Amino acid sequence: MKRRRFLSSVAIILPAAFVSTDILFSSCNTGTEENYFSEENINLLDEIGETIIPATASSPGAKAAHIGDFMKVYVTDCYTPEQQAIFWSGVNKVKKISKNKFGNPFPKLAVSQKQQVLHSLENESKSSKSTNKNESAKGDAVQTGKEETANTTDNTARFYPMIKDLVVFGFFTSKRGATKALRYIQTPGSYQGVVPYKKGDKAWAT
Amino acid sequence: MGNINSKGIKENTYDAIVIGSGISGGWAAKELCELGVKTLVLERGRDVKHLIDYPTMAKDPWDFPHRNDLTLKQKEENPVASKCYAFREDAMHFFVKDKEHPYIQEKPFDWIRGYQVEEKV
Repeated sequence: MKRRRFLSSVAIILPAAFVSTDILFSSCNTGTEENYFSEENINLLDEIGETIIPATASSPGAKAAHIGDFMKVYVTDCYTPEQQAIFWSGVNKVKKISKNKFGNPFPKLAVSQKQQVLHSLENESKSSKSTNKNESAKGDAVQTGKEETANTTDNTARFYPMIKDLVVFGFFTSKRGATKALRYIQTPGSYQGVVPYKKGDKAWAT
Repeated sequence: MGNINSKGIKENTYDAIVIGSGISGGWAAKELCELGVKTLVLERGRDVKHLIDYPTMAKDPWDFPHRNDLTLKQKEENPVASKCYAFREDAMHFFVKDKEHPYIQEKPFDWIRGYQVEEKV
C-alpha cells in the first residue's frame, strides 16, 4: 500500500488516537546548524514526535517508539536530496523559532510552547499552500520537492506536512505504536466485516 | 554391469519441452500431460518451497528497516520492477533486479520478472 494512502486511511480510521496530531512541533538547538542525525538532533526529533503524538494513560508516545531513530534511517535512505533539504531546513527552523521566541532549545520548552512552535510551522505551510493554489496548480510540492529547492521559505513551508507524515507513519508501523496504541494481530484470520465497538476501544492496526 | 546407458536416448527424449514454468508454460504443460504427451518443463529459477522459502512471512512492519518502503537507491536501480506494487522490502527477493538483467525497450514496456518455479503465479 502506498504510504500516503496508508496515512489517509489511518487518519480516517483512528480519529481518537489522533487528537493531538494537529498540534505541531518544534526544535531544540543552540542555533548552530548541523544537518545530520546527531544525538542532539535525534533527541529533537523525538521531542517533535512526542508533541505530535504524546503518550497518554493508555498508549505510548512517539518518543517511546524511537521516532528519531526511525527518521534517521528513513530520511537518509528513502528521501531524495530535495526532500532532505526540506527536512533539514525545517529542523533548523524549529530550532530557530524555539530560541527566538522562547529563549530555549525545543526539548527544554514546556509542552504548550512546543505546540506553539509546531503550530506556527503548520500555519506557515497552510498559508503557503493557499498562496500556491492562487498562483497556479503546483501539484504536491512536498512529495515532488523538485521546484524551487533553493527557496528556504518554501522549504520550511513544506516541512510540517513532511514531519507529520514521518511521525504518523513511523509511529503506527513501530512495535509500540502498532501494538500498544492500536490493536495488532499478525495473522488476523478470516475477514469480519462487522465487529462490536465499545467507546474507548483501540483501533485496529491489522 | 558397466555403465552402459542403453536407454539414455529414449529416456531423455520428449514429445514436448516447455520452457518456463510461469502461467503460460505451467498451463501448457498441464494440458500436454493430460493429453498423454511425454512432457519436460525447464525452469531457470529455483524451486520455492511452501513456507520454508518465505523468509519475510513472519515479520512485522517494524522488522523492516524502512517499514517495507523502498530506499532511493533501490528505486533508482530498479526503475521497472519498482513500478510493481509488490516490489517492497518484504518481497523484493522474488524479483529480477533491473540492473542484473537489463533489456532493450524500443517502446516503453514494463517487464516484471521473477525467476523461480511457477514464476509469479
